[in-house]
Amino acid sequence: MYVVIWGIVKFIVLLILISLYVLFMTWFDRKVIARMQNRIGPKLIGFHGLWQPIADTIKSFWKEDVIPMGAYRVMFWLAPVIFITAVFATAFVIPFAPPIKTSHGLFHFSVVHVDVAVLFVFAFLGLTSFGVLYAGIASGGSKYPYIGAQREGAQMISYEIVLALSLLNPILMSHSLSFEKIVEAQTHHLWFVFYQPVAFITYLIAMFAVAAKVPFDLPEAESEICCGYFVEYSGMKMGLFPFGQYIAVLVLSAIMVIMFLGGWTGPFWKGCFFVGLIWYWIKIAFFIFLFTWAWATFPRYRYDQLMDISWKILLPIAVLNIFWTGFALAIGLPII
Amino acid sequence: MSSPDIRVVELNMGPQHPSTHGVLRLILRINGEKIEHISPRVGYLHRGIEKLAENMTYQQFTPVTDRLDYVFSMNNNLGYAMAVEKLLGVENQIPERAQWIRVVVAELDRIANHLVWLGTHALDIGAMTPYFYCLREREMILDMFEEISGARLLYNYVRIGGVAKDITPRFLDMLKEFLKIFPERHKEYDTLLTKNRIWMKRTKDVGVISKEEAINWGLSGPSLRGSGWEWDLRKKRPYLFYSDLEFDVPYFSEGDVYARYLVRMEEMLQSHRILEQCMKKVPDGPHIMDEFKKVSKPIKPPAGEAYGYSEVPTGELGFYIVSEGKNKPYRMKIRAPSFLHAYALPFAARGYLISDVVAIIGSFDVVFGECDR
Repeated sequence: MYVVIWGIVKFIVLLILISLYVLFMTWFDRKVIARMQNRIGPKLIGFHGLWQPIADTIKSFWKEDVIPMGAYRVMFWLAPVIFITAVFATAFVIPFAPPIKTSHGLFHFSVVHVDVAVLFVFAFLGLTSFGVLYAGIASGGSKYPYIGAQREGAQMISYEIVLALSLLNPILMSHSLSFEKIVEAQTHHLWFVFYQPVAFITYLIAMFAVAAKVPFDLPEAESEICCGYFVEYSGMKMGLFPFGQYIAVLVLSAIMVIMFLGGWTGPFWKGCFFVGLIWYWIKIAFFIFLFTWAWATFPRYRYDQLMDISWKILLPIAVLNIFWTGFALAIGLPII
Repeated sequence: MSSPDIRVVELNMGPQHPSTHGVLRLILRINGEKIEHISPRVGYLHRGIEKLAENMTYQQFTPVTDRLDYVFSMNNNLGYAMAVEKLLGVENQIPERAQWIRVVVAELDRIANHLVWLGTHALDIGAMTPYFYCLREREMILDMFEEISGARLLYNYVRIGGVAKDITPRFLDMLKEFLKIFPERHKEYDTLLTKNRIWMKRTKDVGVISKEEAINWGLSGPSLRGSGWEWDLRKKRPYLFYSDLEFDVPYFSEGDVYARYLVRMEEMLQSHRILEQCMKKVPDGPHIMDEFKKVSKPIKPPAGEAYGYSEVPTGELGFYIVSEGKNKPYRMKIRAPSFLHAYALPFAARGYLISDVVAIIGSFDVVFGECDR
């Protein structure tokens, strides 16, 4: 009983935190990109347009909710729900702060604490593409969503493999699938990025593709297929897709920080909770900023080039890298 | 009887589509993402401009030419004015100062058009930022045009026999300022795109047009030069005082989107070079021939035919005017480069992917005010 109530409390806190994060992120994205593009960005509502996201949310709630005549209604409703649920589920296992010692043992700042957190994240990250696929199919023969869903399907399949294979190296090195253990393994040595630069880069590229952000935002390429899979959506149903994407960005950045950059470890005041917290979020914020930065900088890849990068370049490299890691671990090379 | 191939889907692209540059409608037959057939539908912006010309006096028609390709109105005005002047036989009597102003505004307008082209082309391929950088410089040019003509989009500035108003000292200051900062701004776009890996991957070997095809389809301007023809009306059939000016005609033999991109990027610098040469000496004198100062005074060219041409940013814009000796033309035919480029589009884009079609449309710089007329 205690566990259930505690879980619900944690879930509600997560819900509030994530919603606030997404609201703030829309403002941050617009402001940063505006700065990069010589514009001002939102300015009118609140201090430097800080209330703009609230206004946007209210607006999208009041928008007429149109369901196209040819749409499969149940699936059409279900698609954003599946998408957002799966993305939220990935955020369940992400620790939002370093664990603290209490009289009952370690207290973890994640909704669910599991020892196979990496597997959990991958399972639900894979499910998010079902939401997108359903959205494409349920739009009732509308062709742009269909093409967008097609692209998303292919993109997810090819890049989740690369993503998982690049994470296999830190897992091999730390002998664990638990985020806390992996971070702990990095406190004894250098961060894994120094042992595994190749895996770090393959993960970095695959991260952009899995989150479907520029330069790999093909499922929703607005200048080619006019926003892709959610063309037919409107109002808050449509808003849920970018909402989920922002969460995916956070989750992928957090995994990046935990797996390769030592999570909440940092050079000063080792073991202090608040310093760890600050280190952790600075690192995550950097990767979130990286997504925005890339958005303002790069053109978009083409569909076939995207597939080429995954299957012809990243996948062989990732596999060879695993062989190397395994070999080095087996003969006891001092890479760790 | 063979059953229809169900893998082939018909996709309607436009007239409302973010990257069809106005109102182009393409009906694509796609197999997966690969394009098997394209049929363009033009005419959504048809206003019957050629017919309008038959019911307007020569001066009344000048503002209508603004509405051809509204991205470079100055060049449209210039082309029309030169055609009528040829019909009147006064093309050699244009005051020196008027000629100077014409060259300056035409070249400024060329840069302004190429900036819009670059921004939207990059936006189509997914790069968002160049658009805002380009508009920043276009804004400077528009401010200059506002200073001399009072308008920012449809100028109605170059008139038959000269230009509407004389330039102001402030215009010259603004021009100097612009010429000073433009090369470094041009470098900014260059760093963002030219050697960008993704940009090169998206544009190289896409929409390849061979040398023969380019001439067969009637391409002109940068699209023709991208296919290896060193053809520029300013060089080959000089008008105004272009023959006295030093500038290069960039051309590349690859014939792909990247080549057309490079041609236009280089053209901006060449226009800058022309403007710098113009700045050395600003001739004095009247800005318009006395007999054309009053717009209300009817012009009655002698019966005959004349073809006026000019190198506008997209290609060769021609006005073929047939006069019967009245104050209105008997017939006017406008050779619109955008129309011919839109015609070449399905041939250039066949066999490529949906994303490439967007890049190829952008590389031709078609504007539908002119294409549909």
